[in-house]
Amino acid sequence: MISKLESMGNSISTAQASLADLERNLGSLSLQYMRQTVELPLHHEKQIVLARLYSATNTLHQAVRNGMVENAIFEISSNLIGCEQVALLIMSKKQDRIDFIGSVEFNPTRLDTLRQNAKQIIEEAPADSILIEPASKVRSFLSSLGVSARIPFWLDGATKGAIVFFDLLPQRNGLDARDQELLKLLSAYTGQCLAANKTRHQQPLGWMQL
Amino acid sequence: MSNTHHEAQKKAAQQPHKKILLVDDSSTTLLVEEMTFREHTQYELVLARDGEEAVEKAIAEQPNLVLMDVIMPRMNGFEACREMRKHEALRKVPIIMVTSRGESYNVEQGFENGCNDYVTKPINGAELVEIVNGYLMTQG
Repeated sequence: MISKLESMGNSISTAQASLADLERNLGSLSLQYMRQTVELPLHHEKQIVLARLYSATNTLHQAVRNGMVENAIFEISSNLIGCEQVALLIMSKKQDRIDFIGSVEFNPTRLDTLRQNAKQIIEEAPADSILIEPASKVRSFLSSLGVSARIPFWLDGATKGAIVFFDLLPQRNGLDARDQELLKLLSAYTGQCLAANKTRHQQPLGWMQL
Repeated sequence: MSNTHHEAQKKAAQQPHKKILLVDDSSTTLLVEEMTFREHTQYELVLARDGEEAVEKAIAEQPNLVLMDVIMPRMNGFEACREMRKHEALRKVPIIMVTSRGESYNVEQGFENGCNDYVTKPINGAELVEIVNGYLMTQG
């Protein structure tokens, strides 16, 4: 009994330590991006990318603290990438169930597409693929579903889910190199942020099993 | 970007007495706007998180320009714009709407409610500063 309690205590300490690490990482990344942004002239080509990275890391940092990670991902997608039709697909620990949560503007008719293809969307693309690779089998599969981009995310080395971007706002004629860094950031941090969220808060409204 | 634009920016950056009211309920956009103006211009900044607060701050602070999101809680950007125009001191203050959608319906609605211009998300800092400088430079 005592060893079980000790083990639980250790797990909690480990979770708290990784949460603290995550907050520290995001906080310091945000500062780093801000410094880099400030050092560059306003018209420098990297200015937009760095400003968006600064905003995204800051938003995720706050979201981990206040338990609003899903909202933060949707805000980043809408305001910094220009996509309001976003879905988060999350694998259960045993990988036998996929949960879904969509952005406020998410078109519910897309749900059927996701129900039928969620597992494939998460698993089929190579683990390191961020943007859709041209002329690949994966690309044609995702394009046929109306997906503009799909970003995988991980936790403890295992694929945990994907962020799926459908239609972009009319002023965006597709994603470009400037979006790449932001998508990489989301890919790298979404798993950890969602895990941190779960240790502190209930699942948000709109969360459902596919 | 032409030299003329750079010159205009330098001039505008030397006008610390000008005040801009930034309004957005989303911290993602507000962070980009705030950092861009704070670090690359000398304008004084006032922030508001919804339409009602924007109207209150516009009356109290008398900004030289308002940069405002459209979709916000409590009072949206169009309503806030209309409210601001009811006040004599704010009647001629340039109001630029920040919108996700630049379709003609949204844009027309903005102009009908008294806004002067609009920019679409995602925000491009350099373009935004250029537009804002353009309005503030004409104020002298």
